[in-house]
Amino acid sequence: MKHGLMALVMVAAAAAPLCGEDWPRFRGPTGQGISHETGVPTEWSATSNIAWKTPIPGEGWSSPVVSGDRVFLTTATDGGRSYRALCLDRAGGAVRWDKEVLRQEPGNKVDPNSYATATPVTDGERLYVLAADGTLAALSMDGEVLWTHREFPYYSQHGLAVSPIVWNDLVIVPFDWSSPGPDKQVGWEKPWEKAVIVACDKGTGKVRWRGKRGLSQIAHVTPQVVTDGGLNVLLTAAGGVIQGFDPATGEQIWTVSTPGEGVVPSIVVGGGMVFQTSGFKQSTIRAVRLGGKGDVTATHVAWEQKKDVPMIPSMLYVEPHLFTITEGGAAVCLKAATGEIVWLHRLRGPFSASPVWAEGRIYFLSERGETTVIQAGPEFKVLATSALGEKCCASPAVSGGRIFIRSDKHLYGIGGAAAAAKEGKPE
Amino acid sequence: MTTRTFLACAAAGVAVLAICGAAAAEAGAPDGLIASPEAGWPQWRGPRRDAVSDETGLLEAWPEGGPRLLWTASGLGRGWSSPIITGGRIYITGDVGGDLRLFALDLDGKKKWEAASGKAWDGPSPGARASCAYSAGRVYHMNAHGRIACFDAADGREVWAVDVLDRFAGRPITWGISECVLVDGPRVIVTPGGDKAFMAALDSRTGATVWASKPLDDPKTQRTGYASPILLRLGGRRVLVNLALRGLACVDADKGVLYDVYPKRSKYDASCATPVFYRGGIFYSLPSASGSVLLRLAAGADGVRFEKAWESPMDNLSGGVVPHDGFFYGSGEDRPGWVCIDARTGEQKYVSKDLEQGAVVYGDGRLYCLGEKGHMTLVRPGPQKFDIVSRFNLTDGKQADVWAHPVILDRRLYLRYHDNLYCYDIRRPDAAAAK
Repeated sequence: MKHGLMALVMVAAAAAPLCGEDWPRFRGPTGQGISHETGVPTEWSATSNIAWKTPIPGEGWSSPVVSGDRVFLTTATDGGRSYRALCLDRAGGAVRWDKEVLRQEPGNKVDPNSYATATPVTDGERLYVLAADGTLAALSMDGEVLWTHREFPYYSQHGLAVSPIVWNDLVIVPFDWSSPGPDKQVGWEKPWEKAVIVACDKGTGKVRWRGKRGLSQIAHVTPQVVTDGGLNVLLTAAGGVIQGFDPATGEQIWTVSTPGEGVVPSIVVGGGMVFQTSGFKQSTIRAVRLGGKGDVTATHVAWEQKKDVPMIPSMLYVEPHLFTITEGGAAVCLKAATGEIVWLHRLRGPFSASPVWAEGRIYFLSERGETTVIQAGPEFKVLATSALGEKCCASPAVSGGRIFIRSDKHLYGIGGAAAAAKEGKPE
Repeated sequence: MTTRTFLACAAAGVAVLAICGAAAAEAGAPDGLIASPEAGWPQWRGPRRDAVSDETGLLEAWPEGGPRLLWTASGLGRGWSSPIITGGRIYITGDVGGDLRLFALDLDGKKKWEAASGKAWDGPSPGARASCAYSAGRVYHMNAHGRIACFDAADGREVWAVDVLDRFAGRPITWGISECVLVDGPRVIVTPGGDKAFMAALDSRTGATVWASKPLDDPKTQRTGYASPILLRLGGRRVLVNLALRGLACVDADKGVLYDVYPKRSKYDASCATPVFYRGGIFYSLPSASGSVLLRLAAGADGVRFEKAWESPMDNLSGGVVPHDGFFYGSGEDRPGWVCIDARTGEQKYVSKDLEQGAVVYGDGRLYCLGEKGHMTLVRPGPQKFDIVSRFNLTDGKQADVWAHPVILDRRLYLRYHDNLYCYDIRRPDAAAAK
């Protein structure tokens, strides 16, 4: 297996051209929070280096995505009943369109969640959105609803928070839901077998395959398709499991036991391993080597780390390190190969947003709207701290030399325009 | 949301699901090889052309001397074509005298009819090559000179015949055309590798051209190889993959659009082994130390592209490769030995010299490996070692030309060596009657 371990693991989307990089889904082109852009701003304030600032109606903690000259966002108005998608002009922030995708019943959710939490994904031809009621929909780039897929009647003790991904001609969504009753602990506190990963034809919304987890618990983990040597593998996780599937057929290839429930951080890969947290109860980060078959809990878990495990923000892999931030603000740098902690520093929390890497810097955005920029390396060094003064739970997007940050009131286009920066506040 | 409204939504969801399910059957199938709708072993390498039998209840080991021989059918002439079996009939070809002969046998090996289709192959390695394909009461076959013919399966009457080299301006190849034509519903797929088409679809009723793909850019690359096409669904498209003389090509099965070509040649331009689809990738191997490659198929808005994942040393001649549980199994020619290759990495888990190179099919937890010197072996798959469970000798071992591939159907094993077709009982005694 020596060579097997050295097999290059490449994120499938990384093969896409990187010029004028789009940020097409949750955590960017690779789903790993990595931007390949240069000229990304380091410092700003509510009044400086802001290219534009556009009010966003309603509530929603979905993150912005960027395709070409458009920025897309979802929100929910009318108490969550009106599930909406917005398109903004990337250069100036003007709202090009703001359309109701569908009406939804504002179902059960916990307070920190919203009725528009799933980050949309775009392939440059369509925008795919996932409403809080589990309806998947495709929109044209002009906001016309092309299809809706209402097959899955979603219920969760937390509400919906997973983001769909696009792979080849499939839109893939894991529905790690929980029972609406009579025993609401089923699927949440108690494992069940009803979690399903659904892959729909992105042109029609029709189901291509349904993947089964076996026993698992509630989760909101955005998956990832990677190329592991000659094989494509869909990496997903839920309460109690980290799993690999064949993304073409939905066949489960391997599974690893990782006790816990309510898992939120998205899948992160690097160095032939997948890194995943286990959620509540027995919070642990596990690194699992790729390439297993069947239940590989005993053979493929490379390391575990139980100290300061994030529950909400996703982790960030920057070879050879893994950077994490907990809700409470413990920023940790680990050796990705071993899980050994390199440093741990406390930042002012709380944190919900997932960190982003650009040009050797890591951006941690707190719920207070404060961004702490550090250098990405084995020494902890703060480069800048910037405050917007508004609540921020969505993750930043980076594209075209600009950072896009959503607050509870606005979408900000930050930096990237020298003239605008000088003026301080273009409108 | 109250429980009641949720249940109402859930009920509505179930109704929608039922409707979607019906539509999904035609348009929403997952990626993978598209099986022939015909029963049995109706074409080269079985229903999906992957050399995998879905049967169970097969012997886990054979008695000394091999499984029980049920019958031997003789008079099949000289040839390497494997039988196909469907609807109570066996169809097989052989060169007899100066003709290519096509035989229909019953399941006891008795001849029911025979037909001729043009000239025998008397070039290098003389003998009949391609296997037949069965579809909807017709048997299709292409001879070594590019004559494709359609026969009535009931009586062997020729329905139509086309010279595809002539029609598509193809050229003969050194060892004779060996392609086992693929029937895709109303179309028969051929790979003439000609100036007018690399691949073409013919109307299965008449032989008329339905579509003709572009030729490949390089005239030497694009001549037809010795391999046979596979049909698969990928990203909502139906695509065909087959070898040219010096490359691998991917063509849209419905429109004939040529999507991509991966160039790779072997020392003597002998591209023989049928490509293998496994979990989103195409594996193929070329002889004369030319090695193997795994190409991932990437489906995009504008078609399908090959992306190389890895190369591996094994150089398969014509015996083919079988994928099973994350590994590819096959044998090398100038790099001799039976090899297990990790489908992720291309790493060779072992190279075994316990059997000469040969053909391989899979069934019920075993590899059926037939060495070219007639050593028939039953092998337990797995990455640790080439684990031969049982073996017997089909021939006297003097000639290295036992090249027809084994066929498994209804718990019988069929082996062909030139004039003879041998049928063995490989049913496990305790196996239930129903499959």
